[in-house]
Amino acid sequence: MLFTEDELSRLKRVRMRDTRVGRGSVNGRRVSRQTGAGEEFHGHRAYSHGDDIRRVDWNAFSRLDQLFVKLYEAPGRLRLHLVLDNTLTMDFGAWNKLQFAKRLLGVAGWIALANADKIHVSGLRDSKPTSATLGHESAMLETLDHIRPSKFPPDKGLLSNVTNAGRDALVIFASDFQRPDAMEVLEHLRLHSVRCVAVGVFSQDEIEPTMDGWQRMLPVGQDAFKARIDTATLAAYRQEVIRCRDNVAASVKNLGCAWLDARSDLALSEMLDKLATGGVIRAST
Amino acid sequence: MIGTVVAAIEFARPEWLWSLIVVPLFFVAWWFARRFRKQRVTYGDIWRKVTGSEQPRNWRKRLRTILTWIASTCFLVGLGLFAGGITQPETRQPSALVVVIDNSVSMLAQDENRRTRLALAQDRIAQESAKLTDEDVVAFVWFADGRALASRWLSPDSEPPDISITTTPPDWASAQTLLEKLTPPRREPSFERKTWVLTDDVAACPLRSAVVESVGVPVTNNYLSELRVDNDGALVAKSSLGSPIVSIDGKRLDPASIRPRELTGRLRVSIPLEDAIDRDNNAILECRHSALSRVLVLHQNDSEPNLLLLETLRSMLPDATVVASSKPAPCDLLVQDAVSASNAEARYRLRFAVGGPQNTANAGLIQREDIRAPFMVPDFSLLEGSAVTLNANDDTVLLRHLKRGPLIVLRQNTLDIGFDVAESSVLQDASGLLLLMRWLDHIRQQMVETLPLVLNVGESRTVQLHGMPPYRATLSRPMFEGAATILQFGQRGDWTQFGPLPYAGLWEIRDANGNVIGRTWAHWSDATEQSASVSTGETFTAKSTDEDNPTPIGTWLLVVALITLLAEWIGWAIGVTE
Repeated sequence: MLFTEDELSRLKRVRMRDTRVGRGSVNGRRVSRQTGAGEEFHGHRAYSHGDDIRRVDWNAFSRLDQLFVKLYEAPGRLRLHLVLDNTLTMDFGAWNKLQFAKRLLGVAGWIALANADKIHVSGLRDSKPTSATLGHESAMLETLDHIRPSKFPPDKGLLSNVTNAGRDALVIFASDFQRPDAMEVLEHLRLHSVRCVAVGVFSQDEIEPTMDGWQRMLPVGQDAFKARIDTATLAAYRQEVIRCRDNVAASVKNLGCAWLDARSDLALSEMLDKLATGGVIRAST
Repeated sequence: MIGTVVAAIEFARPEWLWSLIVVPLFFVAWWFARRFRKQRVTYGDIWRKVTGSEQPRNWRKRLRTILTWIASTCFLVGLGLFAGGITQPETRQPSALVVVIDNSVSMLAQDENRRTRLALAQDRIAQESAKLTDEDVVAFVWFADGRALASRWLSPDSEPPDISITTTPPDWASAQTLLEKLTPPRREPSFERKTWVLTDDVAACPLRSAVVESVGVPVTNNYLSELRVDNDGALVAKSSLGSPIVSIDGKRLDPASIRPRELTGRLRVSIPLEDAIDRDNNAILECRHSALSRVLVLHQNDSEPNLLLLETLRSMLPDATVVASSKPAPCDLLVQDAVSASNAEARYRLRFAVGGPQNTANAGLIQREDIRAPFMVPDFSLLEGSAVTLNANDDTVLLRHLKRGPLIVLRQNTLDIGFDVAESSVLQDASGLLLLMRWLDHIRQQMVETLPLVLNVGESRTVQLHGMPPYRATLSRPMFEGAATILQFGQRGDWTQFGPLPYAGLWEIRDANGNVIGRTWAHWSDATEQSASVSTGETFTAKSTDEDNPTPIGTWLLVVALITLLAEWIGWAIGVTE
């Protein structure tokens, strides 16, 4: 289980913030391209057999002597895509990054479902996204829990499925951005004008490693090598990691995505604060 | 204690002990590998950058892959070949192996497993013959009658000849001569000649250009060092370990109390102790003291034998075999009752009413001669019964008829009595019985040792024989067939030289008719030959078909796999490969 009962009850007090995701910001409004039974007039179209006769614009009929049906925008409904980069490097750390990312996305998904949003949950490198609606929070969490680390590249079917939603979609993408293809995913979303919140997950172990002496380094997904580690080496490593992460954050923002930096040992409350600080949610009073 | 245990360890394959070097290499590599702590990290590129570690070069990976493939392939192929028993094709020259086997008595010495040296030698032959191929040939040389004998050239899988033990010490000089004449068959390429001697006395073997291998372990041998019958007729038997006590017919007896001349039948003399060579612990003496052991009462075809005569003879000769027959046969005493004279072979003859015209003897008509017979002739009171007159020109007349000539005559070995047993009271009257008894006693007292009970090998003795010459002496259990076991000698009735007997064992002496007239044990007590010591020699090793590569191909491939695997592992441990 990703959450305890206490954590779940606390999540219920939080709701999704009604925002519109803008460039470099998560502020905005929910919009929908669908027409329906809303209040805001959207336009006309020619009457066709089967249309509700109550929606006929009789004023237009009197002026133009033709039947038109008035169209209204449907109530806004956010399509939330929770995409977890399940690359191998995510499965790392005493506080496992993959597990943390699952909890983070689980928080966002839980709050979204509590506000009647439809969400899609998927692993970036898996081919079967799972959708969940109100009342199916458990299934959503279970789907997240079942995502396993994978060495495969991002699934193209998944990306096309996400981009089809267009402006109606909001993607929360959790990754450590250690593989270049993670950034390519954000570029792909930008091309299709999909709003995205990128969560950069990192582990304290990889930022502040503690080792000394001869080591047989086993980089995740790469070939092993031997090295002698000392204080200077560790300092140089930390400097390089920080620079690398800064570059990632800058690149993400340049792509128009919101950026959240999350350490894998955050507790639930800190996690909520992080999401609230980033404008993804707001805390309920 | 530990040193003793270590010293007692024997390795079945000492040539492979070098492979134990793998053990320290293993531990060194293990220690080297343990120096590095495994550390799982992310940001591998950054780590490589800050530590200066280059991305592993392709050749390192390829080297490890190649070594892995070589090791795996060699292991699998080697395992298959090893399981299949496939070896390299033979490349050596075919060999002609001559195996010289010392089959003297000492080769019967047994080790702690009760296996004789001869059996151990046969095991060694089988062991080395297994290395030979169908292209090779083998010949065997052994000894009999002191001379060397050779088999024909045999294939290695042929059955070797049945070689028996010979009591004559091997004549190595004759073996050397025989080996020089024993040339292998011609072929291309020619045979490589090898000579392999298996003996327990390496020092005594002078064969040149031969591998002389010792067989067996030194043991203590106890054997009959002396066996003879002294002038008093007592048996003297001694063992080589000095024990004067021997077992005779399973009973522990003092041989001085044994007088074989008083016995009839076979007497087994043996040392009752368990011994390394048990065959030289026994001797069989054929005790046949009595010259009257077989008595034949000859009667006519159409009549029954005279029961009174039979009973009388049986009571007077209790040790003899008295049989009645209408057909003559060789015997010691031929008794004829009113039957025409027979020329059946017999040492002594007793004839009743045989020969001459039939007459009736009346009382008062018989006159006892005053003669000097070799025994005391009793006064005759027999005055009744039918009688025939006998021809007695130069013979001793014991009783004469007043009118018709002699009635009882003693010839050299014949007692003629003119009275018919059935028609007279010759066997019912005390005088007749007394005459017969004294004559038989005289024969016993004049008994001559016709054949010695025991005679040392190589010795001879003068004996008097009474059979039909010529006489033939053969071993009762000959070790091999041939004229060498037959000894011909003697003239009838003459003192003749008996022997020398060349081989130890029980000899049967037969006359011209093939009848066994006696048996003599030829005793052999050569202390040098019967000693059970062993002198150490070389060890022969037959050149196997793959001597240059003595192990199968599969084994070599397994070794290559092991070495490659080790190289790969060490290379990985020291960082040569990735």
